[in-house]
Amino acid sequence: MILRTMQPLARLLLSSGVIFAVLAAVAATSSAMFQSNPARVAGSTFSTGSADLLIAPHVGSAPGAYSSSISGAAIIDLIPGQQKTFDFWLKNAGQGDIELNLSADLINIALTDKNNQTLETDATDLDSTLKLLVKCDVMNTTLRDGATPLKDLAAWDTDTPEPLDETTTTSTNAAPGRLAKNDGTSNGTGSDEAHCTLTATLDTGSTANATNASFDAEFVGTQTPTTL
Amino acid sequence: MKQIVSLVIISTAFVVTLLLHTHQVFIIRSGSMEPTLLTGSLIFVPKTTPPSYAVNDIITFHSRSGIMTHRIIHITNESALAHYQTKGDANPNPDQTLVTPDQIIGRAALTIPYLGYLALWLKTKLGFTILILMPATFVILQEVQTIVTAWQHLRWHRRVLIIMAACIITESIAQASFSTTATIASTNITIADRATSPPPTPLPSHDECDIVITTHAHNKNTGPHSTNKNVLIVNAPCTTLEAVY
Repeated sequence: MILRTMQPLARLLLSSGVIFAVLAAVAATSSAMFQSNPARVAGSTFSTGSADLLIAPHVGSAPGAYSSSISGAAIIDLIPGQQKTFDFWLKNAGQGDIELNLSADLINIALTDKNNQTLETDATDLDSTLKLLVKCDVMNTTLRDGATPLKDLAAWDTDTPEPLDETTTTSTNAAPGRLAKNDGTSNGTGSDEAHCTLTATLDTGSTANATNASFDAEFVGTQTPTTL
Repeated sequence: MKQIVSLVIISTAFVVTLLLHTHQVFIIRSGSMEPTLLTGSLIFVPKTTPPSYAVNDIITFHSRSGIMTHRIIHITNESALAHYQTKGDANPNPDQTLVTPDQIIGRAALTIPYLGYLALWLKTKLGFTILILMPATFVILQEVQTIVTAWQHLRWHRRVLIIMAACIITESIAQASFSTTATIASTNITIADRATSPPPTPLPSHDECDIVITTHAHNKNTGPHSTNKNVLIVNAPCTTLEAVY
């Protein structure tokens, strides 16, 4: 009985896999065949362009060098009731008429003590008292053009990525959390760039002491049709 | 039979894709390396460059007349840099110019005779259509037919499940295709160690007070505003503190 019901399903899955593999093989073969001919490769480029979100450290009042990843962000010696920030820049470096909707997520979260030993979540209240949000200011005009909600580490750990669509200030630069199409410059003035801030707040009643929270902050730009 | 043909096509495609990912492929267009490398052979050169080359290695390199594949017959060191003397196996004389390491693309690792002719033909529209597009279309049509037949034999609730799964997969692929990420790696937030932080300034003890009394000596020569000072520091319990002069 099980075999009878599974057979069509298995055939269906196998055939789907074969179609996928054949299409992939054709794509790979045609790419390999024609890769020595740049003109032909260029001719087959889709005109819709490609999405590309870049990030840069904040240097002075402008972005530093943009790349796909920066490291070394550090907020040191936070005490209960205190708020500290880390500044950086995001840029839509996509080719073509592409706008990017931004969302943020904290991944690979780890809690350690001062000896760099991993802490269990029940050994500290850091995961519930350390709260973070990301807000971005398109064109560096001090207007908040999009922010995530303020959430504790535990919520960041379990939730899906948060769109930067919360706003408290009316801005005409762009829709909240959206980067306009690439204007070709990287000087922090265009609406394709955003001055962003990661804000960390430790609750007044936190008992966390001499502990460390580390994570990767991942920003996703999802392609949206350009407003005509 | 059909399944076997599909399996062979998929396996071949997989191996070719793997080889193309790790190797550069060249076609032997002349007989200078015969009988080792026949004209029309396909040679695979690994993309990773070996640390050094030895005599008898067959290398592919850039030369004035284009990309060549010949055998190393001698190595000389000039100014601490290796120079390679090369020669085609079928040629009576060595190549006129020495090859430097920066000219070398790599060492030939795998050779398939005559497959180069096929590869050249594949680059034509006719060859690509006959050898790639037509078989691929045939296999896809066959599999679509199988899918339709299998679909008709599925119960309705399995159809619903498959449609849902297909939607989720499509959505995921679309999301992955049209999104891009940027990362702040290894962000660290350190909570201050309040046990080792400098303690706040302690309040004076109730049991002891420090009092600094400055006295100005009266000098008959300089008058009462002398800069000579006598400083008297008194450490005494507050409760027993008395005026001391």
